[in-house]
Amino acid sequence: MALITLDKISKLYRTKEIETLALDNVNLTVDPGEFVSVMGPSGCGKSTLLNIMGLLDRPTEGTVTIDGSKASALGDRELARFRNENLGFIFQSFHLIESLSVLDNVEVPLIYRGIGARQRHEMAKEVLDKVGLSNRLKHHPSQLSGGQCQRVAIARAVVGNPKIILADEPTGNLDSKIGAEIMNLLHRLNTDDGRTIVMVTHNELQAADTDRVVRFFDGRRTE
Amino acid sequence: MIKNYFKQAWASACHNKVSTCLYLSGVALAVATVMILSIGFHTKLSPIYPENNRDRMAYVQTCWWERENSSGNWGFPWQMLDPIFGNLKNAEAVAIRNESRQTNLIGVEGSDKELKLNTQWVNDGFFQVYTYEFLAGSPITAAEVASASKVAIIDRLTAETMFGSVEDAIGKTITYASTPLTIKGVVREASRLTPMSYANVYIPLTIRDDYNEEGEAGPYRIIILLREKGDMESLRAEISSRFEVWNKTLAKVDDLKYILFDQPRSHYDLTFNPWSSPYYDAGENGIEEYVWIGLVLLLVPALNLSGLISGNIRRRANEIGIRKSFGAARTRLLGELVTENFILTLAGSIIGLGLAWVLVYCFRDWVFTISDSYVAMYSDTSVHFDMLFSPVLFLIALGAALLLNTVSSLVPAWHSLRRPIVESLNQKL
Ligand SMILES: Nc1ncnc2c1ncn2[C@@H]1O[C@H](COP(=O)(O)OP(=O)(O)O)[C@@H](O)[C@H]1O
Ligand SMILES: [Mg+2]
Repeated sequence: MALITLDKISKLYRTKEIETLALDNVNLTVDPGEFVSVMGPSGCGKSTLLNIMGLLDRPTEGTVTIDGSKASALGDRELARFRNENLGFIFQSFHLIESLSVLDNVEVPLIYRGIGARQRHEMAKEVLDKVGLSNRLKHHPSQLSGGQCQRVAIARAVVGNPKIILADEPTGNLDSKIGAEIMNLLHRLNTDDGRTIVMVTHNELQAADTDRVVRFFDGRRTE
Repeated sequence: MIKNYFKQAWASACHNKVSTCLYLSGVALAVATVMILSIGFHTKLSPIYPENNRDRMAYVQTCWWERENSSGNWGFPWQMLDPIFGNLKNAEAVAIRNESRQTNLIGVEGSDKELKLNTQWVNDGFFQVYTYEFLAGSPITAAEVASASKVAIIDRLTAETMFGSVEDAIGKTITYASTPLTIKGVVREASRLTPMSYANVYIPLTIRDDYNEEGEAGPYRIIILLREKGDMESLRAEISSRFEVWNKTLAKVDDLKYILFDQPRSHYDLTFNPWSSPYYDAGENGIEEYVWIGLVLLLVPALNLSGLISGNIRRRANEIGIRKSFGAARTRLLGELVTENFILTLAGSIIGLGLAWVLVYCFRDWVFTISDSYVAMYSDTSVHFDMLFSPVLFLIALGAALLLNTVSSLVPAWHSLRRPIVESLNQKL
């Protein structure tokens, strides 16, 4: 059975003057343990797709089913809890909280899961160790390089042990060498830990390394 | 969970130092304003030493008189004191003070020292209406007033300045205009914030040469202590009928007419309508007017603060988006934001309270002497603790600040939390 099912998803953005159909009747399923890349030209709806898949945004039409739960049936609290337990996000611009240290940033998902301070520290240190940042715990995001920030973001995405990692151009702001390191980390999360990953990328080589490539053009799937 | 709230509040307060400082000083200033205003009202209205009976005091301060071609007003003349204010049924005690020049040179017997001191010319009732605490000796008696006994009561600071200690002052002699006066009592000092009862030296009013000078009006101001709070109207009726009798008998000899107008007046009335007069409309003032002024004064910082709060929350849209992405429910985030605001407001309010005290204390001389061009040299303008701290007022100011700030954080916070996550995440500053 599929882990993620998008069924006839459309997303219409309405601003004062223009209407943009960012996604047009999209169907997509992702199986457990799959590493899927999403490709397509800028503005074709990749981020919109990922946001809908991650329950960060609601589709105008269609249904999102993750692990058997229908997203539209969940209220704010249930959605929050569902995201907390099942989804880990990695963004192109990292989206770390500037006022918090590296350790505190990684602990954010655990706080909302209600885990006690001591256990939180241990869990966060463990994943930070895995991404090679155990010597930067007290640093603030502004004191880190882009690659380091993205590794903190990866640590945060996986600390709560979610089944699914959604990554929107995770190497988009990094040079190719650092980008390759990040890709290594993602592959390990996929092969070693069995996490399902959906990643948006512009890089054909990165995409070729994944299990499957899904292509979009103008809000429609072309492949 | 609470610990997390605090930790988070601390982290973001430290991170946004500038806006935290702005916010804290804004709250502190607003609370300090309220506190200074309320310290002012507190000293004017609440029972404070030695005016602990303010709620039972009835003032008859002004004596308005009219003739065919002239009129005038001042205090009461000697000849009216007994007929109008003697043996009132509704009075527990009647204080009479002569409002003539209040700062006088007082000498110490056997020394050249002369001190410029604040003097009150009073009757025995004065020590019943006002609750002076006698550190040594006893009050001036009715017999001493009647016989113009050469005695005086001084306050602690004067006693210590002149004689070294309270005990040593009793029985010593001071001089006023070459008249020797024996000190028979020492009281805990009053403050200049209670000008009717404040003085360094209290002397029987009959000691003055001119005490019984005749005239349409005179220098005497009357403060009556009611038996019961509710006796004001019966006292008014009582005094009013005595005025009528007085006017009838006096009209025969001297075509004079006295007007009682709205007297006796409560302490509250006297404080807020000091210029009330039968001849013009002084307007009805009350504490409401000052409360409005206070609110307007507060509105400016309040608007600034709520602007600051909503600006802060807007700036943190990205953080809100991130927290939501990783599992924070709206209600939880609302709790976090409001707690944060609450803690800052509490901190600001406490700073504000401290600031108010420091300001009042530093400027006490100015506050005290503002209506008094003579400054008695040896009188410390003491600020008593019970003037400064009214826990009720602080709690009210604190409550108002918390309510105001919670409301002004709730609205933008809720607004921000209702936006779709993607929008918060991608908001550009
Ligand atoms: N919040 C929004 N309001 C209006 N239009 C939007 C919004 N977000 C995205 N769009 C539009 O939807 C289309 C798809 O955007 P997006 O999913 O970000 O594309 P991609 O990630 O593939 O570059 C674009 O044309 C974009 O301008
Ligand atoms: Mg995109």
